[in-house]
Formats: sequence, C-alpha cells, structure tokens
Amino acid sequence: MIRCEEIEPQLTAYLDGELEGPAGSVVRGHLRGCEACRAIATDEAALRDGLRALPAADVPASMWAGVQARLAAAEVADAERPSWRRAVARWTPSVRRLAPTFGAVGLAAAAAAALIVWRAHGRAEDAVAPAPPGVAITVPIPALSPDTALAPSDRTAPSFGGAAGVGGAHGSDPRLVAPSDDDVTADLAHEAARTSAAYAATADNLAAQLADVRSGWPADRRQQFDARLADLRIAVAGAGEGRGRQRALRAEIRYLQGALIRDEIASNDRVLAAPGRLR
Amino acid sequence: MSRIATSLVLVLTAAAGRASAEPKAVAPAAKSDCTLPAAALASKTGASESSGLDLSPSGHPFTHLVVDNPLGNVTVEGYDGVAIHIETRKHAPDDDTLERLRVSLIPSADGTVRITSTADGGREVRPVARGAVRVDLFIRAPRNAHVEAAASAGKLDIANLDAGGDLDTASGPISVCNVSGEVFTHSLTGATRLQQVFGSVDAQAVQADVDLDTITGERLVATVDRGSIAGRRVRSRTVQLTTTDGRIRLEAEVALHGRISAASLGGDVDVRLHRHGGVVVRAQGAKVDFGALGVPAVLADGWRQIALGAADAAAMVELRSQHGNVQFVIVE
Repeated sequence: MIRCEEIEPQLTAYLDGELEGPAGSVVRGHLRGCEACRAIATDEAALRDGLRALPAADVPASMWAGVQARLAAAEVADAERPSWRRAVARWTPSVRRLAPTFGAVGLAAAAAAALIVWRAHGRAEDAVAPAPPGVAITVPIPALSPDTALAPSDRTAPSFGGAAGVGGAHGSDPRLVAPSDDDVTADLAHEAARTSAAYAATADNLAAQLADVRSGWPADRRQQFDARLADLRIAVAGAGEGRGRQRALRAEIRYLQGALIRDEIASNDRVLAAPGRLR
Repeated sequence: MSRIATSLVLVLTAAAGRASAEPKAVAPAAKSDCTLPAAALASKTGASESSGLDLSPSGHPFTHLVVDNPLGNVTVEGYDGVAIHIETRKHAPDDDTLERLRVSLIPSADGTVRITSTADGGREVRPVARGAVRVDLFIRAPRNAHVEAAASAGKLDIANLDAGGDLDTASGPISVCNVSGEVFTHSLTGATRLQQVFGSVDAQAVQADVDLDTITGERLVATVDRGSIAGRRVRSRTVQLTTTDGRIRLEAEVALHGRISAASLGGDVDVRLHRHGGVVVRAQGAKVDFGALGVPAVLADGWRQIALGAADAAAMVELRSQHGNVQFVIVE
C-alpha cells in the first residue's frame, strides 16, 4: 500500500493535471482514503484557486524592496541555524512563507514569480576588480519632500504668485541625502533618494532659470505654464520613492527644458513616450 | 503553476553545481559591430567568485527581462536561442562579505524574468564600503526579449536585441548597439552611446554626453541638461535634440515631410544635412551661418529662414540657440 510520504511529492503534479493513467489513479485512490493527505490537497487547491482569482497586480517597486529586505532579514536569521537546516531551507520556494506577510498583492506577486534567491555557487578561478567609487554627481543635491512639492523653495530660486510658481519646489531633508559610506547595505538603501534628489536639483535649477523668462510672458501663457507645472509636480509628489518618482522628475525636467529653450508651454507630449508614460 | 515549478527545478539543478559555464544549445550571436565588454580584470586581493546559470522556458517564452544591479555592470546580449544564461561575478574584500552579495532570480509565468542584486545587512555584519564590493552580470537572452535594466555606477550595455529596451543608470555609462524596437535611456551623469538602433529612441541625460550613431527609427528624441549631443548617420523622420548647456552636432538625412529640431540655450548648434527633396530651414542664434546657401530671409519674429528645392513635401529644419551660434550645411 502506498504511503503518505510517497503521495505528498506527487500532489503538485496531480493538482496540475499532469498525472495521467495509473499514476493519477493511485493518488486519487489514496486521497479518497487518507484524510490527512486530502486536507493537504484541499489546502493546495484552495490556494491555487485563490491565486487565479486575484486580479493582475501592478506591483510597485517598493514591494520588491520590501521582499528583498525581508528575505535579507530571514537569511541573517537563517545563518544562525545549523548548516544542515540551512541547506534544506535555502531552496524552499517562498510562496507560502511570504503569503501571510505580504497580503494579497504580495501573495500574487510571490506566487506569480516563484521567488528564488540565487546564492553563490561555484568558486571562481578568475576574480573581478573592485567597483569604482559610487555615484559621482556634482550637481547640488537637495532632497525631495512630497509635502513641499508645490511650495516655493527658500533655497534655490525666487517664487511667484500662482499655485505652481517656478521656484525650486523640492524641499530639503538632509536625512535623505546624507551619503552612508559606512556600509554597502545602508548605502543602497539611500540610493533611490539620492538619485531623485539629483533629478530634483536639476529641475529646481531649470525652474530658477525660467524665472526671468516667465515674468515676460503674458498672463494666459503664465497661467498655462503654471497649471502644467503644477500637474507635473503633483505627479512627482504622488510617486513613491524610487523609479516612479525619478520618472516623474524626468518629465518635469523635460517640460522645463522645453519651456526654457523651445518656448513650448502647452505640453511636452511631443516626446517619444506615449501620453501618460512621459519619461 | 507547473511552468513555475519547472523553471524552479531548472534553477535548482543549476544551483546544485550542474550549471555549465556556457549556455547549452546557444547559437552564436549575429555578427555586428557591437563589441560587448569582456570580463573585468582579475584582482589579486579579496574574495571573488563567479557562477553561471541557464534558465529555460517551460511553455511561455521569455519575453521580458528586468535587471536591477546597483552593485556593478550589466551586460545583456541577445541571441537566437530561447534560454537565458546568466553569469555573475562577485568581488568582496573577504569571504564573509562575499556571502552578503546576493543575486535574486524571479521567473514569472507571464514570460518575465527579474534579476536583482543586493547586499544583505544585519547587526552582526562587519561594515563594508560600497566601493569595496562588486557584482557584475553578463546575460545572454533571447533576441526578441524586451530588456529593462538599471545600474548605478556600473556600466549598462545591451546589444543584438529586437524588442527594444529601457535603460537607467545614475553615473554609469550606457551603451546600446544593434537594437531594434523602441529604446529609452536615462542617466544622471553616465555617458550614453547608442549605435545601430533601428527603432525610435528617447535618450535623456542630466550631466553627460549623448552620442548617437546610425539611428533609423521613426523618432529620435534626446535631451541633455549639461552635456553635448552628437549624432551621425541619423535617418529618423522626426528628430528633436535639446541641450541646456552643451553643443549639438548632427549629421543627418532628412526625409520628405521630415522634421529636425535642434535647440540649445547656451551651446552651439551645428547641423549637416543630406537632403533628398525640398527643405525649409529656420534658425535663431547669436550668430546664424548658412554657409554657401546664401543669405536667409529675416522673418518678423526674428527667425532666419531659407527654402531649398521643391516646396511640396518639404522637410522642416528648425535650429536655435539663445546664446550660442547656429551653423547649417547641406552635404550633397
């Protein structure tokens, strides 16, 4: 008589409909008589049904950062366990483990992805040189503060009447931009904010250059410009830190450059990216 | 679900030590002028390791490759196969730090493969400066996979791909060669070079130069804040180049109804044009030079304009620099 330990490894294939003929019949027969295995199969099937029913999730970048952080933490804890347990746990698919932690979206992402952490394997004979020093950005680097995206800056440029103004809109928070040269992990954690800050500094600089130009425009032109810039800054403020915010800042830079250099006020939708996907 | 499981098995097999250093059943890449960077030079100090992994599709082909490597270079080369081969090279000052460097691989059922590098933290680790560690990724991917790649200070190179790409670096240089499909590049301070791009291009840099060679897609848009834009053998129907402070040099062919616009606030604008029909050229600058084309008409709005050839289907060229000089030459 077939034992539960022999059935369990076949459950995945069975539920996927990949066991045909006698092999499928054996599993089916065992499940009829074994309550424990039937419970496992029911759970597995329910999980799959739930996953299929979930809408496709547009997982934000922060989600991945969260997954990475939790995996890192888990692996630190893992390192304290006996080596044989690490060896077993290392390659365990993480879907079920992550599910309660990340909720529905996380579950969908994790299930859809089958997360694997690819650990080192195979010691190399050839070595690689150390990395060059980190990001070398020479522009002034203010930090973004979503709350101040529409407020005039007290640092980079004069501001004007109207909702948007063209003064520097991106406030300063030194905590976000302080380089963390003490450890690579901390440095990576600040990477997105640093990059966003550099883009924000560029936008502020362009806005400052536009100040004089704008004062010479007729009122309706100023109004159109302010409204468009306000939209772009709202998009910046609303974007989560990371690539989304950087994309929004790049769109703002493009618009300001167009206004400053090409007298294009209405829109910068002439660029390649489709509307709604401005780069 | 079964697809995921199959992919998983393949990865596990490879990780268990049976992965080959070279991809299996991988056809050689098509010949082109694109030379991808070789592996980094060996270092005599510290700890290093490299590993290779083949990931074969099970059912849905790999159509989308997403790579995020803030710790080093990313090289992606397209080829005529269906598997993805990933070679990682890690370097750290010591073995313990090397263990902290991770490369994560996430194959999805929809054909997307995500590869991400990171460095584990924790209270008990010995602090290591970011510049002391490195992870380089060399990837061969199906030619028709769309590549979305990000690096920080490392180089980002893609070549021989047919479905375009979206590339993002902070200070690392970007290189694109022999690529079809739409190509987007963004960089803060990394030099951007695109050559042999047979799709539309949108390149944006803040403080870096953009170099364009043999661009034939429908549209070419490039903007730089502080840096130059140089274009050669550009045949896009719509070209829009913009710099705040930096020179623009363009050698291009203009098509019927084509439109070329080059504008700078403080840099010179120098355009050499191969024309195949009528063209109307408008220019504004501190000094405008049409060379042997003659004296342009001065319009009421201050633009200087000259019309060449038949007016039907004439192409439009618009050049401007507020503080720099503008030069325009027809190359017969």
